[in-house]
Amino acid sequence: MKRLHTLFASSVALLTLQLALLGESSLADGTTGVSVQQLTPKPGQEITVKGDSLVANSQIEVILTGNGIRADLGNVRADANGDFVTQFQLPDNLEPGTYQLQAAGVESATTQLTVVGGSMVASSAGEMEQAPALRHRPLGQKIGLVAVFTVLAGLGIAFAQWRRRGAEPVSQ
Amino acid sequence: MATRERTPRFRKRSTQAQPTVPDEKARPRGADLWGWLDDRLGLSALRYAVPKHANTLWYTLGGITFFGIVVLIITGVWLAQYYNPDPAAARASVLYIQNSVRFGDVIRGIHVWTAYLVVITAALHLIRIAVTASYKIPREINWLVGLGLLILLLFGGVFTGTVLRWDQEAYEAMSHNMEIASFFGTVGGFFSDAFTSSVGTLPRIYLAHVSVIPVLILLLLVVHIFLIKHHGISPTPAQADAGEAPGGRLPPEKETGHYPTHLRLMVGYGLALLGLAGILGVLLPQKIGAAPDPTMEVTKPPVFFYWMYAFEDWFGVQGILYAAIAFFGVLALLPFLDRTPFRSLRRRPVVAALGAALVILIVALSIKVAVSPTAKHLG
Repeated sequence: MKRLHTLFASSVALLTLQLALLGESSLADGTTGVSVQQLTPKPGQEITVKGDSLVANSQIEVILTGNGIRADLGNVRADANGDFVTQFQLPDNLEPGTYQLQAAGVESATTQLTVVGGSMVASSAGEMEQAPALRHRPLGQKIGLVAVFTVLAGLGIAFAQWRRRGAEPVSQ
Repeated sequence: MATRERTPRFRKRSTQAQPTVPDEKARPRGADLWGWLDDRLGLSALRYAVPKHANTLWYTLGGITFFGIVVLIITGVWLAQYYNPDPAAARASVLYIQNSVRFGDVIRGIHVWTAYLVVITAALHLIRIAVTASYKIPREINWLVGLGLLILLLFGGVFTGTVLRWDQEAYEAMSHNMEIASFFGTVGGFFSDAFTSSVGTLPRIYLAHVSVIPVLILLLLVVHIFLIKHHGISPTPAQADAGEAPGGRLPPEKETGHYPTHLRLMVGYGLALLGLAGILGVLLPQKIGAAPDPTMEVTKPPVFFYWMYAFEDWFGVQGILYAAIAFFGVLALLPFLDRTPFRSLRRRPVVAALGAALVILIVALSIKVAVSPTAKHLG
C-alpha cells in the first residue's frame, strides 16, 4: 500500500513537473486527475482547478493542505464525464510554499501548487537550493574561544575534584 | 530525611542554622552572611548525609543532566529573543542568529551541543541505574519518571528543536511527525497540521519546544528529585545483595557521604559539560540546510534517531513508531519483569544480555544508517 502511495505521489510530482515545463494546465483527455492553472499563485489569488475523468456526477471537495494549513476551497459537482472546471480563491493568509491541492470525492486526485510571495521556501519544486553560507570565524577567534571553554571545563573538573580540608575524599 | 539521623558535624551545623536565634543583634554584624541567608532560605537543609558512593561521577550523571537542562533553559531564553517561529521568517531568523548576532553562533552551538550531551548523560544515567538495578523496589515508579524525562528530552527537546531550524531536514522531520500522528487517529490529531488551521504547525511546535516540553520536564524533575529524596540514594549492588539495605535503602549509619559534595560534583562536572559544549560549538558549528522543498526527501534525522530510521527503511514511517514503542516499552517494563532478588549484574544474566543486545542493536543500526544513502519514506 505504501508503495502505491509512493508511486502515486511520484506520478503526481512527475506530472506536475511536466505541466510546469509545458506551461499547460490541463491533463490529457481520459486521464484521471486534477490540475490547476497558475501553478505559482499568490495568496488571495484566484486559481482554476480542473478535474478530469473522476466519477461521473459525483460531489467533489477541493482542499488545500500544507505548511500547517488545511483550507477547504469549496465543493463542485463533476459532470457526466467526471470532469469539472471551477475557479477558487486562495486564502489571503497563505504562507509561501508548496501545497497539496486535493480533489476529494468518491475518487480523489491530488496535485501541487507553489504559493509565492516570500523568499523562505525553495523557489521551485524539485530544485534544492544550496545550503546558505554560515559565519566563518577567523582561526585566532576560534583558538581563543576554544581556550576559554577549555579553561571553563578545566575549572569545572578542578572544582569537582577539589577537596576541602577535613571533607570527605572524592572517590572516582 | 526528617526522621533520619545526620552525622554529628552536619547536625551541629544544621542546628546552628535553625531560625530559632532569639536575638539577631547577638550575631556579629556582617560576620556570617551564610547564617543570614540560611535563616531565611534554609540552605542548611542541603547538608544531609548520603551514601559515600553517591559522590562519584557514575552516580552524578543525573545531576550533570540537570545542570545541562539549566544551561539549555538559559541559552534557550537567549535564542528565543532572536528566533521568529513564523514559517516565512523562521529559517532567516536562525541564519540571523548564526551569522549576525554577536556570539550567536557560539550560544546556538552551546544550546544544540548541550542538548545532545544531555541526552547522552541521561542515557548513561539510565544505563547506570539498569546496571546497578536501582529501579528495583521501591524505585519502580521513579524509573518510569526518569524514562519519561529521557523521552521528553529526546522527542520533546531534540526533535522539536530540529524542526525549528526550518530547513529541509526540519521540514522532513515535521512531515514524519504528521505522518506518525495520523496513525493515532483522533488522539494524534493534536500533533497533526489538521488540528487547527488558525495557526501553522511550526509555531505550535515552537510553543511545545519553549513552554509545553520544558514545563513537563520540570514537573517530572520535581517528582524525580522528590522520589530520590524520599527513597534515598540506592545502595550499590554489593551492599544490597549483602543485605545491608533493607527495603532498598541503606541505614543512616551507612550514609557517610555528604550531599554538599554531591552538589559540588554536579556543578563542577556540569561546568565541564558546558565547556565541552562550547568547544564543540566552536569547532563543529551547527549547520543550516537549504530552504525546505516539500517535494523532496533527502535528509537523515539527527544521529540519536538513526536506529529508528533503520526501522523506517524496513517498515515505512510506521517503523519509527514500532521501534520506539518496542524499545521504550521494554525499558518501562524492566522493573516489573526483573523480579530477581539480586542487584548484581552477574546474578541477572537475562537483564545483562537484554541490555547488551539493545545497546549493540542501537549502535549497529546507527552505523548502518550513517553509511547508507538517504531513502524516501513519506508518501
